[in-house]
Amino acid sequence: MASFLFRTIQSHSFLLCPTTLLRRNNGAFYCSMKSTHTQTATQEKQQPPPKIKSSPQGNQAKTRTLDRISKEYEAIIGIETHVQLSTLTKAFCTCPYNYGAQPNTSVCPICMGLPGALPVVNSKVVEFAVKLGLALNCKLSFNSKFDRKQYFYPDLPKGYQISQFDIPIATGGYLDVDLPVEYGGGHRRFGITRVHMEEDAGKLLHADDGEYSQEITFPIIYALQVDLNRAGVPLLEIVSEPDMRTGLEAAEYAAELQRLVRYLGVSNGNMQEGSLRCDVNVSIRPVGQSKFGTKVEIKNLNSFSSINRAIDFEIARQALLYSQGKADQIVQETRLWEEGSQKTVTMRKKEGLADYRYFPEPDLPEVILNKEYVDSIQSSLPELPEMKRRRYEEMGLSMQDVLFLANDINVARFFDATIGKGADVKLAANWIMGDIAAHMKNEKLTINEIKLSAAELAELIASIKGATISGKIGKEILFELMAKGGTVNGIIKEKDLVQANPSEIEKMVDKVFSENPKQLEQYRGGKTKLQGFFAGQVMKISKGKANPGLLNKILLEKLNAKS
Amino acid sequence: MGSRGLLLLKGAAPKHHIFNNTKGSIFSSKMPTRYYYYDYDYNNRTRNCSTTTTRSSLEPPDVPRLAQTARISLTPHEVEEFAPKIRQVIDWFGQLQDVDLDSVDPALRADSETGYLREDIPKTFKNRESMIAAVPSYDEPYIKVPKVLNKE
Amino acid sequence: MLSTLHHPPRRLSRFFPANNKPRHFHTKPVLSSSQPVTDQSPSSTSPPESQILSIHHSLLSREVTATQLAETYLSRLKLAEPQLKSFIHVSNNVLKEAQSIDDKIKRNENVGPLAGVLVGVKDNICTVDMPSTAGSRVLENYRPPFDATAVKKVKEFDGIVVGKTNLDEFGMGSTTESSSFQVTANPWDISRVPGGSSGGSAAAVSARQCVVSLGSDTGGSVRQPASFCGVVGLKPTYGRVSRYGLIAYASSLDVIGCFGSSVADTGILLSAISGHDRLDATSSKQEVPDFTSQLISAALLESKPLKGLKVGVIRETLENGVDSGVKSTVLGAVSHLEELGCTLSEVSLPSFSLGLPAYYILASSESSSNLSRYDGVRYGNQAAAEDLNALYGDSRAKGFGSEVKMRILMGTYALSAGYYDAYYKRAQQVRTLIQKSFKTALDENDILISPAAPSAAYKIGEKKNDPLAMYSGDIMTVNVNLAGLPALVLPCGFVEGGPVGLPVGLQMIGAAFDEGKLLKVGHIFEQTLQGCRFVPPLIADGIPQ
Repeated sequence: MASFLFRTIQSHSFLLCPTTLLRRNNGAFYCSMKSTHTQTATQEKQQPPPKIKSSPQGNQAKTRTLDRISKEYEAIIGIETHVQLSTLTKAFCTCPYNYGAQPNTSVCPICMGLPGALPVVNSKVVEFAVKLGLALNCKLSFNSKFDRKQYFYPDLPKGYQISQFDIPIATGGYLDVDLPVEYGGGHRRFGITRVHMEEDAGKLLHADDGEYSQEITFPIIYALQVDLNRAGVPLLEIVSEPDMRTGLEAAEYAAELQRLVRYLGVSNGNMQEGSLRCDVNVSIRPVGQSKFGTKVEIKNLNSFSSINRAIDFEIARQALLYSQGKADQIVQETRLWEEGSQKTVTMRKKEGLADYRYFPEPDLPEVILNKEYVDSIQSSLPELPEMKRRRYEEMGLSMQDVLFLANDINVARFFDATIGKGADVKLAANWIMGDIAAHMKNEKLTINEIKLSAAELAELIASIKGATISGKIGKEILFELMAKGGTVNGIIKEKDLVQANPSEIEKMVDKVFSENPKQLEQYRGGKTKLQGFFAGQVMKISKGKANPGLLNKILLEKLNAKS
Repeated sequence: MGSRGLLLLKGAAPKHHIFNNTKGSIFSSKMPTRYYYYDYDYNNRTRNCSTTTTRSSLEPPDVPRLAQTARISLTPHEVEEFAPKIRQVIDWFGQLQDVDLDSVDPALRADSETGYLREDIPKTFKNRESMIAAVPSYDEPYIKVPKVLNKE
Repeated sequence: MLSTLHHPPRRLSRFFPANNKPRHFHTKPVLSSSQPVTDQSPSSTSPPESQILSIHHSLLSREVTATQLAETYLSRLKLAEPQLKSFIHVSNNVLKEAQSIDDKIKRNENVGPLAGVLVGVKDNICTVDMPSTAGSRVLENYRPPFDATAVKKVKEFDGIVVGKTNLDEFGMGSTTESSSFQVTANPWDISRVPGGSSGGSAAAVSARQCVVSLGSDTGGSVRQPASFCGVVGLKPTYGRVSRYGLIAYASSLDVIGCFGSSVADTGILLSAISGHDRLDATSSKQEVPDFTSQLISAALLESKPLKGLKVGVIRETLENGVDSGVKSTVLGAVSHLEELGCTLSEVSLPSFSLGLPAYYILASSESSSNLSRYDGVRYGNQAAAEDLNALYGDSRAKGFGSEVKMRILMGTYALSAGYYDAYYKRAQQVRTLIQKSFKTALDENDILISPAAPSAAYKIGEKKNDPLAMYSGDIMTVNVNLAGLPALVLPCGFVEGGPVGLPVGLQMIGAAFDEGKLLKVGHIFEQTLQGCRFVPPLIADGIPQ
C-alpha cells in the first residue's frame, strides 16, 4: 500500500535543497489522503449545495471566538486554484488521460520527456482557457505565450513545467458569489488576478509497504514510486485577489469556481480526484493597519469544509500569536491541514523566493487569439451560475431555493425545462427540492439518472393544480415516475386515479351515511368528533381520489344539512 | 598560414578590384557600402544607467551554487577548473550591458508563423514497452527513485 | 533577380512531387550524368556531380546493384574509420536494406529517390533501434523508441541509414573534441579537427564513407565543418525541417541540415526532409518546392549565368580576425561570382559582432533547460545513490562532459532571477537587431556572402582549453541562426596546410525560405569553379573508390 508523499516531507525538513519544493503547485501534496476520502465523499456528491460548516448553531464557543477575533483583526485570504481540464488528450501530447488508470500506461515520448520529443498545444486547452477567462470576466491576452518553470523533481519529466509566466491568457476578472442563507447570506465579488494554462506533474507515491526500512540501508533505497500518467495533463491555474476575509468566503469562492467549471464543461471539478485543488494564503493584521501581515500558505485542502475550517483555524492561530505579542512567530511558511486533528501544521519554512528560472518556451509558438474566435466562444457560453441565480431571484424564488437550484447545472437545467413546459415556478422548485432531491439522495442518483423527465414533472404539477389528481396521488405518481418512468397521464389512466368531482363525492358521502346510520345519528346528536370517521370512510371508498378539502367541505355541508 | 586560394582558383584573380582592408573597405571605393543600423546607436554607446542594469550590480557566478541549482555534483577540482573559465565567458557576455537596447523588443526566436494547435484526438503511443524497458529502475508498474533524505 | 536570367532554366529533374510525399518512379531522371557512380578521381577537374542522381540512374539502368554500392561504401567506411572515427555506430542492416531495394528493382517495383543512397545521421538525431547518444555518456546505449521525422522521411524515400556520426556532446562545440566517445579527424589532414559539432557527418561525406549525411546547425554546426572538410553544407531556414527527434541543444536556433559532395545532393536531401510536421509546432507550413528543379546543368550555362543577381558581401566578416588566406580565397570566390554576372556590393551589419555573445547567452540558457531531462530517472545512465539529489547530481556529473557542464552552469546563471534581464533578455533584443539588419540587407540583395569560418581546419587540441578562442570561431555563422535564415556553404578554394592544402568554404545567406535560390546560385558556382577538386587525400591515397 502506498501512502502519500507529504507524510515523508513532514518528517524531513528538506535542508538539502530548500528551493526545490518551495512552490510545488501540482505535485503530490495535492493528492488527497486516503483517510479523508470518506469524510469528503458525501460533500462531493453535489446534490445538495455544499454545506460548508458542520452546523451553524454548533460550536458556539468557536463562533464567539471568531467574532471577537474579527473585531480586532482583519484576515486577508487569497486562493490559488488548479483546475484539471476534461480534455480527451493531454496538454502537449496525444496521450489519453483517465483517472485511476494503471500507472505509467498513458505515456509517450513527449510526456515522458524523452530526448528529441517536442510539445504541441492541444487546441481544446486554449478553448477552455478562453471560456473560463470570459466566464470570470477577465481581459484576454490576444497574444500570450508559454514559459518554462524549472525545477528538478521525479514527477516532472522534463525538469521544467510548461506554464505561463508574465503573459497569462487572462487577467483582471472577478467572480460573484452568494453566501449561504443559513450563515447570513449576502453577495460578494472576489477579484481574479489571473488565469493561466499549464501542464500537471505526475504522481509521486511513497512506497510504504514495509519492504523498505525507514533507515538508510546502502546501497540504494528506492522509496518513491513515480506514475507519469498525470504528467502533461492540462490545468488552468486561477489566482484570486486577496479579497476573502473568512473561511466561509474562501470556501464559497471555491465552491462557486467548481460550479463555474462544471457549468462550462471544462472540468469535472472533482476534489477527491484532484481535478480541483486549492491552496490558500492567509495573513491577518490588526483592524486599521494598512500593512499586510506575514502570509502563510495552507495545502492539503480536500473539500470546501476543510478550506473553511483550515482558514478559521489559521486565523485563530495567528490572532492568538498576535494577542500574545508573538506576532514575530508568524513566519512565511507552508502549512498542512490535518483533517484528523483539525489543525494546520508546519510543512516547510520558506527561505526567500524560489527561483524557477522562467524563460519563454522556445518549442511553442505564441498563442494568438483573434476576435472571431473569442466572439464565437463568448456566444457559445451557457448561462452561468451568477446569471442563473439572478434570474431565479427575479422569478420570485427565495434565496434558499435559488442557491439550491443553481448549485448543480443539471438540476438547474431540469428546473428550467420544467418551468419551460409551463409549470408553476414555486411548485416546480418545491417538488425538485423536496421529494425529488430526497429520492436522488436515497438512491444515490443524479437528476439525469432518474427516470422522471422535466416534461412529466410539469404535467404532474399541472394535473394537481388543475385538480385532476390530488396532491397525495401526485406524490405516488411522482415516485412511480422516478423509479419506473412512464407518463403522468398513462399512470392516471392505468390506475384510474383521476380525482373525484363534487357530485361523485356527494354520492360517496351519501353512501357512507346510508351504511353508517348509527354514527350519523350520534353525530347529529352532538358527537361532532365523528366527522373524522366519515371523512376516513369516504376517502377509503374513493381510493384516495377525493380531494380532502373538497371532501370535508361537502361532508360538513351534508352532516349539518338535515339537523 | 599562407594562402593558396587565388592560385587554385583558375582565372579568379580579379583585375579591376584592389583588395584593401586597411582603409576600412574590403573593396575598392567604387563599390558602395550599405550600413544596416536598427534602433541601435553603434557609435554612441553611452546608455542610461537609471534604466539599465549596470554590469557591476551583477554578482559574479558562484559556481558551487550554480552546480547545486543545476543538479550537477562537481568535484573540487572541477570547480577550480570551471570557475575562471565561466567567469571569463560571463564577463564577455557583459559586453551586451554596454549596448543601448532600450527601444528594442526581444525576439523569442526566428520569425515564425502563428501557432499551430493540435486537435484533441487521442492516439496511444505504440512503442510504450520499449520506453518502459529503458527505465533504469522500474518495478511494475512504477518508476522508482530513492527518497529525499535529510542529511542531518 | 534570378528571373532576369537570359536562358530558360532547364529543370534538372522533377525529383520530388510538390507535396513532398514519396513519389516512386523508375523513369530516368533528367539530370543524370553519364558518369559512373564511382568517379571520384581527385585528378579529375570536372565539376561535382550529384551522387544521388547518378546512383539512381545506375540502379535503374541496372549498371550496379544497391548491394554492390553499399559494399563499396561500407568497405571505404571501414578502411577510413580507424583514422577518421566519423561514426559512433555503424548499422548492421545496411546490406539487408540494400538487398531489399535490389529485390524491388528486380521485381520492377518503384523505388524512392533516395534508393541505395547511404545516409549518415548525426548521433543527436533519433533513430529507432539504433543508439542515439548525442555524443554523451548520459545517453550511452540509449535507443530511442521512435525515428526523428527527418530520418523517417529519409527511410520513406528508400534511403539507407548507414550509421550514426560523431559530434560534440549535444552539439556543443566546434571540433568534435567534446564528444564523450572519440575525436573525429579531418580527412584532409588527420592531425586536424573536422569542425563541429557535425564533424562526423562532414568527415564521412568528405571521405565518401556515405553519400550524404544529416547534421544539425545551432550556431554553425553544419556550415563550419562543411568548410573544414571541403563538402557542401546546407543550413535550412529555421522551421523548414522538423526538429522532432533532434535531441535539443538550443530549441530556438536548432535546425537539421544536409551534407553532400555536391550542391545538388544537399538540395535533394533537403527536399526529402523538409515540410511541416504535426509533431513540431515550430515547423513551418511554407510550401516545399522541389529544390533541385531550378538547378541548371553546366553544359547549358551561358557565360554570365548569374547576370543581375545582387550579391552583398558582409563587410564585418572580412575584417580583422579573419585568416588572410581565408579572406583572399573568399574574395577570389567573390570575383568568380562577379564573373558569373553578379552585381556586387558591400554591406555592413553593425550589430554583427554582438551576435556572438548574444548567441552564447541564448544557446547556453536554452541548453541548461533542455538538458534538465537527463536526470537518470526515466532513461540513460543512472548513478547509484542513496537519495534523490545524489542520484540527480551524480548521474548528471558522470553523464555530462566538461563543456556541457560549463554551458549548463552559464545558462543557469543567465536565467537566474535578477540576471535574466541583463543577459537573456538583452540577448533577445540583440537578436531583434540582427534579424532586422539581415532583413533589410536581404531586401536589397539576393544573397549575402561571407566566409564560413574565420580560418581553415586547425590542429586537434589547439583551442580545446580556451573557450573564448573556440567560441570566436563561430562568428561567421551564429548570426544566421539568430535570424533563422538559410545558408549554403560550399568549398571555394584552398589555403596552405596539411599534405595537399585545406579547403575553405564560402557561405551564401538567403532570405527565409529561399533555399532554392541559394542552391541555384551554389550549383552554378560549383559547376563553374575550375581547378578545384574537393576530394581529400585520404581517398586519393589508396582507399579504394
